[in-house]
Amino acid sequence: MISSVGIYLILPYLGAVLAFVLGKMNEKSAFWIAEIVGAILFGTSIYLFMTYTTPIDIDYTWINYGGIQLPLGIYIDHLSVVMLLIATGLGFADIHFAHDYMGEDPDKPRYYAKVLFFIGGMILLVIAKDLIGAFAGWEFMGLASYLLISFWFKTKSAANAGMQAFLYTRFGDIFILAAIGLLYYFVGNLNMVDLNQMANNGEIDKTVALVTALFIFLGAIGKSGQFPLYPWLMNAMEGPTTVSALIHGATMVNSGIYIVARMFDFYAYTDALFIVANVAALSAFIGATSALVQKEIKKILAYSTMSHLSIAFVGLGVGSLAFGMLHLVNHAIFKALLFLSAGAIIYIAHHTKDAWKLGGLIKKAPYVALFMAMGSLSLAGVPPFSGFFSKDGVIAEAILHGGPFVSIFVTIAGLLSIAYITRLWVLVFMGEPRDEGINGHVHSPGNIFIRLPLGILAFVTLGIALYQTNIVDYIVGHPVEEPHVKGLLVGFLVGMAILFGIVVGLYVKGMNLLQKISQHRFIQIIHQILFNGYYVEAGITYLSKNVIVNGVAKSFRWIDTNLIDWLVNATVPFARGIFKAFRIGHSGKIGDYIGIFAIGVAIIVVAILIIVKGV
Amino acid sequence: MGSLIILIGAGLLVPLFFKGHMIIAKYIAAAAFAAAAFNVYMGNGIDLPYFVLTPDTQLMEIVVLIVLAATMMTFSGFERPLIPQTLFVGAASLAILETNNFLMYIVLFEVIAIISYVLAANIRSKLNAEGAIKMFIAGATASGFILLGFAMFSMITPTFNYSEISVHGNFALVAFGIMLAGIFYKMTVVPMHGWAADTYAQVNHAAAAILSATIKVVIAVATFKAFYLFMAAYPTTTVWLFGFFAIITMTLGNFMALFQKKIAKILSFSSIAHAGYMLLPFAAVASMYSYTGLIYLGIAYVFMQTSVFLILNDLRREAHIKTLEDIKGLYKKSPLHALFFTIQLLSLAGIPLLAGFISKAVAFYAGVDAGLWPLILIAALNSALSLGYYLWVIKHIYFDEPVAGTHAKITMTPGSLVGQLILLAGTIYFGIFAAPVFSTTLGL
Repeated sequence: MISSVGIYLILPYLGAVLAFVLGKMNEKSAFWIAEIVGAILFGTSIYLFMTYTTPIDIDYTWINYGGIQLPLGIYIDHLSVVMLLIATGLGFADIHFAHDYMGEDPDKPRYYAKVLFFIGGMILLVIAKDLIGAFAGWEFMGLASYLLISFWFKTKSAANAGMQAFLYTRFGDIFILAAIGLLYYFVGNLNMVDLNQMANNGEIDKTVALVTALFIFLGAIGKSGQFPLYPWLMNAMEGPTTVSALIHGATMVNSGIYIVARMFDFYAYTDALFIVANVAALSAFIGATSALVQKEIKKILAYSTMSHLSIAFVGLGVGSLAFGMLHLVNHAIFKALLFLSAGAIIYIAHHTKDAWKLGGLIKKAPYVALFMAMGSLSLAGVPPFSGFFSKDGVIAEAILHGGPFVSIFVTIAGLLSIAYITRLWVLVFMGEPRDEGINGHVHSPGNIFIRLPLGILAFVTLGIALYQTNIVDYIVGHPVEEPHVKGLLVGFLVGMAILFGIVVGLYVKGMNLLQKISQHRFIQIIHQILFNGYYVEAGITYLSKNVIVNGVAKSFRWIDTNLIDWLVNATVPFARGIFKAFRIGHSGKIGDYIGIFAIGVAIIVVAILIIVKGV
Repeated sequence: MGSLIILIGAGLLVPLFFKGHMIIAKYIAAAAFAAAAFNVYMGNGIDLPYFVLTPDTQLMEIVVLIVLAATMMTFSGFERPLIPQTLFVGAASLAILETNNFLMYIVLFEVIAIISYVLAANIRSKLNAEGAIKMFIAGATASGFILLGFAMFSMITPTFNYSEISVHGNFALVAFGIMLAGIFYKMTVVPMHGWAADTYAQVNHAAAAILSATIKVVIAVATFKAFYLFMAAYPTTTVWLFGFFAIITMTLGNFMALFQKKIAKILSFSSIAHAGYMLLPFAAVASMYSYTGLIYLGIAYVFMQTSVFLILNDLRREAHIKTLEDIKGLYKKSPLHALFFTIQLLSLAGIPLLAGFISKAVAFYAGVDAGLWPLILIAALNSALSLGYYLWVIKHIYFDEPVAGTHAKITMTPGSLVGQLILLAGTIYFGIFAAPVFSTTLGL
């Protein structure tokens, strides 16, 4: 079991280097190296899952001198194993899918190297015992995310999106770094397992705990695309769809939730969970409403990702680690399925991302339609798909413990997901083709590299529904009581199904009618607000441009150019003067050197005598 | 004895392969270094009277042997005569690091000095000859001083064991002072450095790599052990003496490097400046981290300095690159050379996550621990100053266009690549993992 830790720590990076270097020599080898590495990593995770008995706990001290001790340990428990299965399993599926999707790209070695590097970062995050290691993995992923969003860096929008993602997430990361500093200074312990234990025993000062918990949550907000740091997630869709599927749909964006779950006792000890729940409920509402009106397939999915991550966050926030994590797991799988289906659609439709230009694709790609429908049903929360159980659990917990704001918003978000995902599916697959030019060229997807991974994911989405209680028990480590609101549960069950039917009917029959309604001026204004994600991005841009760039940065720039540059420039003649003075001694003649040498000897001897004897 | 036999035996054997089988000689030598390193790793010291293998010397020896093996990998036909000398340097380094006897120390010091002359005397041009002669004359003077000091010292000390030597009385003080002057010559401490600035730049760069890195570090570490009792007996003197020389050495080295046009000269003066940093732990002998600081500086420096001189050797051999003008746009001509050079220069400048940073941090920490913060402040300012010329070189490599009419492409030989990769691995490994150094050196 310990050997698997070595595999996790070395193999992804080794694979990244190999895929890049060998891929430069033979383009095809890049994919196969990535595929093999991905398979080994996934196999290792399964092996770890099968042989798991007690948590793997390895202590290692990175720096230890003076009063400074920086730990860098490894800790793998049930939570880590689940995250590892998601990261490596979906990573493997994604690499496999990319064979066709990225098939025409000339830069395959670079792509696979970055993806493997990303998987390495995710693994490091979930197996790290201390905040330092977790932070390193966190930043590796941030870097990989930046590199992959701007993978097609020659298009301006992709390069900008990468930069935006980096800046937004870094803004949150600064707070994590600050939290690490605070914890190190006030608590003296960066070990997340110990921190939970200390919180349980009440050994940490409440204020410190609250501040650090909020700081870490700010980082999680950035990474998991919560309000107000979510605009980057939407623009991140500029990257390849396989990247969106893996990083911005299924794995990396989960890391914010993971870190809160990992430190759950610590969060529960403070009142930070209340804030987590409220911010998340608001984000869920924003994401769900904005997803209703988007045009691009990937943006709809991106907003739905935001909304569903928020639902998982709400689960944690109202005190239910089990349902929060369960929703994370379910969401990761069905969102990977949905994104990869979107990738398949975009691939067969020659990189058309606008859902309004498609339509009637069910005839051309029936299997993709079927698999995407299964993912959509799961996302919509229609029984018996997996998404139903976790979403329902979270909503029930929210109603029981969350207060009115949280419970209303999260319920709305949960119900709206039926509407937006149905809209997407109907737009793409039903009706008549809206753009004959695109529709005429649609080709059918390949079997092994497109349909197979989709089919497997769809199968898992359905199959995993049978094991929901097992997953919950596995994550928490002991059997969990279901929220006892049986009436509510049955109500949801029936309600979801009926609602789903109604929405499908509405969309199929009345897509044109809806369009007519939306021509109304008032609806148009709301539409604009939702379409632009509540103008949060514009607000942040306005603030940073006027306050930070034009205010703070410009004044610093003035000081820099007028004062500091002058000082720096003045050092050059100064240093040159010293240089010239020193150069007198370097004539290049050995006689001079020996002379100076002799003076040095005299200085040493005289100095020693003077100092010791005080002569 | 095993390591010594391997190294000296290989040194005597390799000349057999010089006629047309240079590559065999090279690999035999590299294998000998690897075998010796493995032997040391297994805990086999020289195992004679007056020689003790402790964990700290073990670490230092392994590092030195690995670096010399990497150096060996980069050799080409030009450096053929250096191969046996390098092997002898390895053997002498093991001996001087392990000895605990002052007489042995002086003898081995002279042995290394003589090997250095032969190393430098790989003469192919007038410039080489000038460098070798300068080193020889300065070295002869230094030997005279060392022997004078040692003669005085041997008259009063009852024994030569490091732990029992007599360090008291005016006679002993003068003796140690005179010996120090001679040793400072080898460590290129200002004002005994004049020869080094010229020699390092003028002799074959591969020889300069061994002279300025391995030999300097080995002498510094061995001297620290030999003079420990003296330094501990006169704490005030130690601080003033070594502190003063540390400051003038690093300041002069850094300022002189700033406006040089030849890259080899920049590296020479940077090497002199690093001698100044290496004197900091001597001054900070009161701190328990002083020895750790010295060993760490030594380990980091031996990887970085060897690497930069060997790259320069490659560049001079393949493309006659000598000045900053020649190195413009190097990344277009040879991305690999440019990459290795840049990382090692950044490490020399003390950029975090590279060995140069942690080593300086530890040495500076030792200084602060000993209460010498003004000294450390000056050292830190010096370290910032040094960025001025390291980044200047990097700027020429990446941001300037190649001069027309120079080589368009420079290839890196596989041997060179392997050697540089080993050195780079050392720089990065010791830049991240500090534990091996701390666990072996604390508590001298």
